[in-house]
Amino acid sequence: MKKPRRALTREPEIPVASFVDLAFLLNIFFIMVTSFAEFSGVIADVPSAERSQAVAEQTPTIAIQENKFTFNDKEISLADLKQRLTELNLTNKTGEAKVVLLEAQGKIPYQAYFEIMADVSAAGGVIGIVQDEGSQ
Amino acid sequence: MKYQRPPAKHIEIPVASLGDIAFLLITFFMFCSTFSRTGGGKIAPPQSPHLTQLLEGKVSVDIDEEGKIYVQGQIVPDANAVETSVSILIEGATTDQGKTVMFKCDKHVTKQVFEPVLGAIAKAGATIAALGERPTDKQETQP
Repeated sequence: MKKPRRALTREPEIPVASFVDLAFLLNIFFIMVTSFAEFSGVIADVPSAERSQAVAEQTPTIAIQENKFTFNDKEISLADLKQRLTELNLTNKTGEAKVVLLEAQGKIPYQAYFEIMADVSAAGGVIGIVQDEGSQ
Repeated sequence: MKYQRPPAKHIEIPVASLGDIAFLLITFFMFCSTFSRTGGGKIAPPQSPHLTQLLEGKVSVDIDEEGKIYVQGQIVPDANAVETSVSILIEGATTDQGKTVMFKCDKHVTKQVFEPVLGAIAKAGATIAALGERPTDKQETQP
């Protein structure tokens, strides 16, 4: 009887070529949908209603009206307002002495409000919102 | 003289390690990515030159150009809903970052819309991180 011939030994291989294609497709998905988020803005530590009642009447108040600003009821330009905020030396103050009240009157866009918030924040102050009774 | 062509050789490029590199890249993206929690509406951010770099807070409140309010990307009806949602979301937070709300609002939205929302976030006991962008050279900020 003839001896059965032994099959040639062959190294088993797992096909991984398509696996790589899949991985790179996933990579492309992540690259396309990912955006490295950078958050820039201002921290507005707005006092809550209970705290704001305790704020003294002499707190500096900025009112924003359409196309004009008032600081403690006196009309002021934006450049002068920044100067006045610097003069207040809010950075070296603590607690409620840092609070600057912000009052918007009329149909003020958020852009104007945000600019003042950024200026107060840059001067070291804390923003307190004066709200109309009707808007609450 | 007869020239004999050498027999065709089967060349194989080893691609097994390429897969490892691709999966390493995927792992990097998966660990570094967070899915955006902003609402679906268009938001034109306000501009100011006096902005600082902020760390990302866990809660986001957005107001789009149409005045729609979103908390964590989900639309909410009014400022009262913002107060309730934010106070639930920041409940138990011990760090400043945990109590920070990322507030993004379209620059054209009027006071009647954004002010009650800011008040509601403050009432909930959170710190507001108002997001904006620095104006580029070509852009001018308008009060």
